[in-house]
Amino acid sequence: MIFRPRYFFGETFSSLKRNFLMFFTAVTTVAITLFIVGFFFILVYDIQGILTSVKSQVELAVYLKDNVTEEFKNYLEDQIKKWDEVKEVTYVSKEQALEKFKEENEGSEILKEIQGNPLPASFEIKLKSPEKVEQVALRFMTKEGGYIEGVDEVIYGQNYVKKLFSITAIAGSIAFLIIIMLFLAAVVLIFNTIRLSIHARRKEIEVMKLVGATNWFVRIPFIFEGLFEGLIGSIISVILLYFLSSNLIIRGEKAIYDTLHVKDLAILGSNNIILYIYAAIIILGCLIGLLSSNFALKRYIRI
Amino acid sequence: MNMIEFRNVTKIYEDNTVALKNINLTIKKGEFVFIVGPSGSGKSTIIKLLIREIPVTSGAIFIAGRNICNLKTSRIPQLRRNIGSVFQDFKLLPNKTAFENVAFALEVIGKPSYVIKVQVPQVLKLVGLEHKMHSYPHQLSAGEQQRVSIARAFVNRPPILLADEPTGNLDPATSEGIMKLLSRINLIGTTVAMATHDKNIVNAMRRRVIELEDGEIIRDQQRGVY
Repeated sequence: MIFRPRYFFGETFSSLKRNFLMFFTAVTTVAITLFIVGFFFILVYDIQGILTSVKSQVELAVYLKDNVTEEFKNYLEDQIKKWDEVKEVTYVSKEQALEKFKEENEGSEILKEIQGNPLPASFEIKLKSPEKVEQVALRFMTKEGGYIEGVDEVIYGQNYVKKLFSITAIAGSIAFLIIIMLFLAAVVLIFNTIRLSIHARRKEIEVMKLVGATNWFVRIPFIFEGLFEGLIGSIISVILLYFLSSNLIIRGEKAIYDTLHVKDLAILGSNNIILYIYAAIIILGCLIGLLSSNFALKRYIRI
Repeated sequence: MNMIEFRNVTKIYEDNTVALKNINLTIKKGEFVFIVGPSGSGKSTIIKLLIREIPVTSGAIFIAGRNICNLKTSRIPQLRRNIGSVFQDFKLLPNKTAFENVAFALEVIGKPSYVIKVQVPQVLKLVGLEHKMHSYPHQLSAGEQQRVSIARAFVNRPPILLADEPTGNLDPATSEGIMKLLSRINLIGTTVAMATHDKNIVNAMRRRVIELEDGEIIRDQQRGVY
């Protein structure tokens, strides 16, 4: 087949002109559905960011007995460092603990009551994956249920951590499900709209086949059209999202950043997630338009 | 030379209706043939088989000596470019003018625009519509619309023209005009096969008549009547 861009572009645009209402419907459908998917994605991303940041604040404090020797302390520190789950270990000596305590409670009555140094030395352990906190804590326990030699207590907010993780796990899977469902709904809606617009022109297809047009010749204008509808629709949804995010969402994110110091946010975050979302919407829009028209055509092309 | 040949052709539709039973039939180059018979006798099935709109159940159909039953799907467009077809409902595109409807048939097969500019007015003149080139189908009478559809079928000068009840929607006077036009196209050398149940037309023309009943040929007569 000889490719004649002038014919195909001409056909595409004249048919867009003639079928403006169908074109308008398809573009609006793409724009609105992808806008909703994109908006929800930003929302979910930010919520996940908040949850991750809360999770990363989970750490273990391992309090040592006062009678541990320097050798034992060094030995324990080396052991902890060898564990895969551990990101960072800081040793806080009795003196440092007291200093910190004094700083935190400056001017308070409590300080006068303190005699000597009642505070224990400790290890503060940060983890690579906070979910493993319980496993790590268990390593300080003996089989009988007590702590290993030299360790007085291990604290990591046992109850709070368990709840937090189950909440984040549930929230994560619900968000994932909702996004998938929204996306599927978008695909079905767009597909149906494009299918309808092709159905409205089945007579044109019939005539084309009748006078000996090849399948590709029939297909190309429709595929251009679907692609074009997807492109325009997704650009509109990106513009809408841009306005919404640069006015409303960004304010919400500022508040989150100021209060919770969450770094991983869609717009304010350092890795420019929002740009990837925009790009993904445009690529998806084009793909859905292209594939929808291609699949919808199959029914009418086979004569 | 045989332009069209049916060899033991049987067509059974998916719902098990038997449309054609073991049909044998030859049509020579340049012939004008009426295919007659009541509704459901298999007339339209013959037309549909010839343009490969539907496949045969068994048997073989030859066009200009070539078996079209084992044609690859990708070769079907080529077949249709050599067969002009005209239908009772015209099958014109409502949003294109007479000129554009005819031009469409040439655009679709990749003819350059300078050819289109010459051939389309020529063929519209042949069908007597040179003054209505830029009218839309809804601005034309039924007879005129059928002329546009004949122009479209013929613009590519195909060796075969098939017509499925072309006068089915037309009054007798208009039908006569259409038949004159088809005769002229036949005189140029085009093989014409026309399915109809219009008695008056068949009787007036005195051409070969093939009569079908329940999917079987019950009569094949030169210079016949209905």
